[in-house]
Amino acid sequence: MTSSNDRASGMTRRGFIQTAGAAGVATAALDIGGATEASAARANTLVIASPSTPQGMDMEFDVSLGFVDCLGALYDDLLAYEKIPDPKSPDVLRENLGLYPDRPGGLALQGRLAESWGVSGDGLKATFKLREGVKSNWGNTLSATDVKWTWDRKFAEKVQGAFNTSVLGLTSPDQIKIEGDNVISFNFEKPTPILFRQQVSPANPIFDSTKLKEVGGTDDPWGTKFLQNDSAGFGPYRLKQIVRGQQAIFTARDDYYGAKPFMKNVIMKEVPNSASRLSLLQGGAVDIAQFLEPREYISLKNSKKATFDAVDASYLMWLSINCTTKPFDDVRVRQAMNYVIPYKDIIETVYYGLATPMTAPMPHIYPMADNSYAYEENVDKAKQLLASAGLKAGFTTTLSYNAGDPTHEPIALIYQTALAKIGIKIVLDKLPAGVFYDYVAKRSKPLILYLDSPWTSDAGYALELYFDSRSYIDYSNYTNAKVNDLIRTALVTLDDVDRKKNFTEVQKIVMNEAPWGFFTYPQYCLARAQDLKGFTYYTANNLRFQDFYRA
Amino acid sequence: MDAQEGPQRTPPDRNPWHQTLWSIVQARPRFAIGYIIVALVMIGAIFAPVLAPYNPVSANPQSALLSPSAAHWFGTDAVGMDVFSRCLYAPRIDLTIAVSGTLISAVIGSLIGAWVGFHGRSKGVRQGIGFVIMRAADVLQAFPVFVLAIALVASLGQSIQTVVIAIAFVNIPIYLRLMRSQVISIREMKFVEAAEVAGVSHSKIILRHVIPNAMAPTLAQLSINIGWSVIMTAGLSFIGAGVRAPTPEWGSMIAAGFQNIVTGQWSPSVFPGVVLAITVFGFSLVGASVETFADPAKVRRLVADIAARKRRASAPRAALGRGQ
Repeated sequence: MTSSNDRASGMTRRGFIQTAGAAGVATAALDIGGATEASAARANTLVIASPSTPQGMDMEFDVSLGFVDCLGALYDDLLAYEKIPDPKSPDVLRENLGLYPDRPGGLALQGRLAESWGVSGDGLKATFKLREGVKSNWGNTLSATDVKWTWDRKFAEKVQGAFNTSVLGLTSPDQIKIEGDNVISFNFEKPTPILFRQQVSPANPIFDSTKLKEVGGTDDPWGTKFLQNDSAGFGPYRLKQIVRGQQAIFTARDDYYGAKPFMKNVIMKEVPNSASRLSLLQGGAVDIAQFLEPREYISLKNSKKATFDAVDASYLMWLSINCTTKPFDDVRVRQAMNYVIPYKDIIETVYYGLATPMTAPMPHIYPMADNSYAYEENVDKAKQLLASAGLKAGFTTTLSYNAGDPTHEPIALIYQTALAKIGIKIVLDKLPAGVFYDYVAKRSKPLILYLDSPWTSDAGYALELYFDSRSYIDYSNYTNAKVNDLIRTALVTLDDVDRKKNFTEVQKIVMNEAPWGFFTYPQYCLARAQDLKGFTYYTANNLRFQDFYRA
Repeated sequence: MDAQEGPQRTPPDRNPWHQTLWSIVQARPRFAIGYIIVALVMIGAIFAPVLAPYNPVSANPQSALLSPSAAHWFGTDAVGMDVFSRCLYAPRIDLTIAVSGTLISAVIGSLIGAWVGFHGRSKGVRQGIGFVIMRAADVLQAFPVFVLAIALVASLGQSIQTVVIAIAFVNIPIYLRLMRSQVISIREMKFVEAAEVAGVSHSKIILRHVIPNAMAPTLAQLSINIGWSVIMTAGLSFIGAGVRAPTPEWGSMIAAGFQNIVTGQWSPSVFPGVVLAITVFGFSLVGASVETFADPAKVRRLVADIAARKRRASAPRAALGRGQ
């Protein structure tokens, strides 16, 4: 039956039902389409639970955890290492740090912002030809001026960059010369073997000078204020939003010169507590949970949603022994401190096997690391050394450590018990993370646990950093004229055979004189969702969002 | 028969003191629970070197994060220290800090409070000083107590003495106000006037006549405050501002252990937390008892309750006797 009104409107009941059904199907189809879009958007969004959001966007001033992890996404370097599969974790890629005498600089490098590069026969001039048509996240084209301005800025600001210029032996901005629109040269008084390695380091990204000069004007000629809240670089991502303490959002750039990242959006959420980061990962709310405790990584072994990768890294976990403080001015005491390090206990109990004993005073993954001189636990030997130093009865001292590093306190507690076996009583001094680094820099504490990593994969760089008495991070106040001379000579020597000879001797001397308690090489670990692939390990121990994709 | 069974329930050899105590326990069993808890904690702390099966500050990495077992009743922590042994030793620090801090604050706060209360109606400089003291107390109490304690520990350095000072400092205004309010009313009583007329100095009147009569609320507050101070000590240690590792202390044990909960090792933090909660509960009950004994009205109610209990206990026996 059809009512007159229905007929008048041309709508029968069957027609209505058919129409309604069609509308429902269409709506459902739209919903499915929307869900698909949402699903695709989620697939292309990388969510990271991080202990902190970036504090700034300027490498010169900010090396905070959050910024180091977005640095490689916002900025690009002149060069990069080629990638190879990690020998222990084939699914993970890592930089090829090997030495190749037949290649420029003896390294397996590939161009990033530089298209080609070379060095003069005497090693005093290195030239880079820049890639053409490269745009910054502000649309400005890369030129030699950007590279020059970037290095001039290091000389002008004299913060982090001051070390990077001095380690290369650069004393004046005039040593960096624009040779053409896209050609730049570095000119040295003495040859330097680490220039190319330095051009790989995230410590030396190239800035968009056009943008920074424009926004800085005469008041802020180096764009420092602007870089507190935004970036100006040539990397594959741009900063979309930052709310410090909450989250930072990055979006992939369509105009990036290289391969387009799989992850179109990256959300870095600040989750200070590692247990909370782990829970978010296990619950599928994030794709990466950074900086978990070793035990938390191990707990992922039975997880269906998440997993973790662990690779050998450039991390060094050591005890700075203040060589100018009694009784640590006596090498025998420092050696005794090393002979009671309970490596096995620390590695098994604190790191759950995600570390190895430190066998050299530099990262074991770097070329020229000499692992032939290592300490092994030997309490009797330690007692003999203390007795010969006139300290048979032992002594009392203070060991400081970082409250912000969850591995420090258990290491300190285990070491405290071990030292008690030779009569050394340790008072533990837990320093808040905020003041910990001040005390490390002051070099006034007798003993202080420290975790660090030399980003540039070179023995000379690492050894100069920690053991040359002129270095500002010779935290142990260690001084040995022969060590200084050997390091400085090797830093201006191009021949790798000669360099290796020097660095081997330096490592033997340093291991023997023990300005550090040589604890462990912690591995770099990444807790991630099962379907997230592409993790690549860099010696700066940072993430690069562009590496990741979903299986 | 019942007449014979009745005396068996209350041993005939019990002296009046014991009978009174037993009656109080029956009327207010929570008081007994409080005293038992506090006594057990104190005995545990005093005899910890004898009772604790392991050295509380010695790491034993081979036994790290063991679950509770016959060998380790409360399990072990992340470096293999026995949690039960550390729980036994912990009151040595926690109670020392809490009792010291509370007593210091009670003495200082009460003396200042008595002086301010006694001279509350004076004119001139004394009134001005009293005004300044009370406003200073207002300012102190306006700060969040925990934040104030953290600031004090941060500025004075991390040590047991500093935590004692911090706890004493934040508690002083409480005792100051308690004593002042008592003294203001006592000040107007005849015996105070009599003492003044007799030429006794104000300081002697305050110390000999006023304070002894105004102590009751302060005494009641003491025990409650000790429990609160235990929490404060543990709280400071939990955030790393209290005692140094590896000193056995409940707050630092909870802090060191709570990260393990997410990976399933609950015992290193749960047991210290439970012991802490029970101890604070015990002090709270003891505080309630002191408050009762110090308040004549509450004592009268207690006496009435005891009498009522006795009447209820004897009434059925009498009724049953009549039936026979």
